[in-house]
Amino acid sequence: MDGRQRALLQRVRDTLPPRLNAGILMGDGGFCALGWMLFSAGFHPITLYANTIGVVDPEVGGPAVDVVARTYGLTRDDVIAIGELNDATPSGTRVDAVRRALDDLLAREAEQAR
Amino acid sequence: MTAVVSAGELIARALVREHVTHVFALGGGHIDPTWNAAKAHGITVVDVRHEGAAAHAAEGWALATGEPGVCLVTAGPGFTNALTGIANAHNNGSPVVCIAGAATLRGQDAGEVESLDQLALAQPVTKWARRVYHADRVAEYVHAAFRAATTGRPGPVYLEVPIDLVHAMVDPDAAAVAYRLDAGARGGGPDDGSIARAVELLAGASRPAVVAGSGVWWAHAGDELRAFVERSRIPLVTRQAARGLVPDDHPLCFGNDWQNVVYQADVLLVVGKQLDYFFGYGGFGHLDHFIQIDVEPREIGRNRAPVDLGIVADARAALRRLTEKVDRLDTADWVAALRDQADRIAASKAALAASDDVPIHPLRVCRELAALLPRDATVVADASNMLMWANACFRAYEPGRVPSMGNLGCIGNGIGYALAAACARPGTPVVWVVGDGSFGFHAMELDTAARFGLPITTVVLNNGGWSGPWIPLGVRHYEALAPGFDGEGMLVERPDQLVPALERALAAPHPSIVNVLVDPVAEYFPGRSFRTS
Repeated sequence: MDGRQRALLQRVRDTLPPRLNAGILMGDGGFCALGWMLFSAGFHPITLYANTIGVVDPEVGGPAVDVVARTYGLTRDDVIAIGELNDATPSGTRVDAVRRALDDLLAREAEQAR
Repeated sequence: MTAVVSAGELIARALVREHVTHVFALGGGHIDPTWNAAKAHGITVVDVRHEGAAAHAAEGWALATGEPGVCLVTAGPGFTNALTGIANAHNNGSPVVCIAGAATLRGQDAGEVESLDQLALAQPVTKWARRVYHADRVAEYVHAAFRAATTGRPGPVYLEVPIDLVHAMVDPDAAAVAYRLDAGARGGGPDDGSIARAVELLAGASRPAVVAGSGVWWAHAGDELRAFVERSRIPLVTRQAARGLVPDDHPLCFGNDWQNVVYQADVLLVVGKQLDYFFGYGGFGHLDHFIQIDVEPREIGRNRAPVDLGIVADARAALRRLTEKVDRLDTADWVAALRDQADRIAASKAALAASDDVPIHPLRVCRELAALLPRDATVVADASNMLMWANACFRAYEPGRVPSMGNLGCIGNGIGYALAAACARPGTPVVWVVGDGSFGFHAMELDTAARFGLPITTVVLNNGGWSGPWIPLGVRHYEALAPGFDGEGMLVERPDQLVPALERALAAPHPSIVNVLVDPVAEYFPGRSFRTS
């Protein structure tokens, strides 16, 4: 994770929406954590029409896990963990749970950078 | 000596020759002669409350019938109001003829009232746009407009008739009358070599699949599509205006769920479907062979899709030839595997669809409504996020019954489609399912429905705000609007109220509104797997 990616991830953590959806990148209940990470990084077409795990783009698209990992300099397992945490956490506590997970990721990255 | 008539009269006569029965319009002095003449010739002028709805309804007519829809709008803001609907038809490739009034020819650039460069605005969102400069050529232009809208890849066309011309009195004998093309003449046929190669590639496949898009509908090729699929036994997905050409419950049809079919196929035949966002930009690198048939050469291999056999041809002609040449393929195991997969996906949605939660889950609403509708019902599911619930429930059993909103991203345009479907198929149910945000765009068209005796059932999936990003609107009593339009409104807050309210609305002789308070944080289908993505 480079400095730009770290700043981007910090921004995601600090601007999480008031609620997160589960099961879909962006739907009636808003974004899921991965959807918000994609949207924050400029993948705007994911906001349309029921994409669950894929980014439709002929150049930079693919499975959402891979796109998020590439964009933020994370491992696939890191991204999968965020996605699964998002979907497994009840809606009332989901945003806080995701924020804590992002805190942990940023702390780990800061440690590794030292 | 022949009596002179207005140019508007000549336009109306040309519309009659084009077999136009309905025109969606909003009046104004700049189009008055055409309006009156159309009515005098027995054309139903469906006068709406906003020109945007007129353009959407004209496209809705095309989607419902397969024939070009017509809108008639006045100059200046009348035209600009219609632009979004024209642009939507342009993105969808739907044949629409927009006839607009305009300032006088000498008033161009002079500051005349309702004057602007309409032609320049229309050109980027139409496949053909013209201004009439001589009143005695107006009928010629109308016929040219229809030919342009319906030949090749269809699309909207724009014909501007300045007010001084439409009022001009001309000798009708001076107006040239062109001919109208029939559907069979709309595109060319394929060459023998290409058809033979396509048959060869399909015969060598282990998991062949066909995806049919709107081009099949515009080519009037539903029968040919079904014949090809039944002859070859190749599983089928229908997209956009092709929905229902082969019913979703046909043993070889897998509805519009293209991803679960295409990404497992090894040889794919795409007919009349653009390789756009809604089709993964055609990026199907996993295929052994990718065959594409389209009437528009520029669509072949668009977005660098790996097409290795492109056939420029009319869909009907191509499907006929393919059916003549193809043998029955052994696809039983492949089709059975796809059916098993489809059943498992349906089962995964069943729990949400049966949810007794309050606020009501939107999937529950769509499931209950779908269960009440006959096969010939039209369900116009408006755009935005609620489509994900609608797509999971509403199946297409006949063509023109589940119109697609298209990729421009319009919202609220569904009422235009619903008006057109109700005009085209009186006596069959027409339902407009819409979110509360989108409802506000053209809700006044329920007045149009009331005036024309169109008993459209409106179901508002009311989550109290705009989704994505969330912007609250608050809970509003949209059902209270219905009595103002001679109809009946019902508020539904609990699942047990759903079916009685929907049954009552569907039986009503007037427009009705069922305002369903749904879960604003409704979650999507459970069980997505990140690890297999």
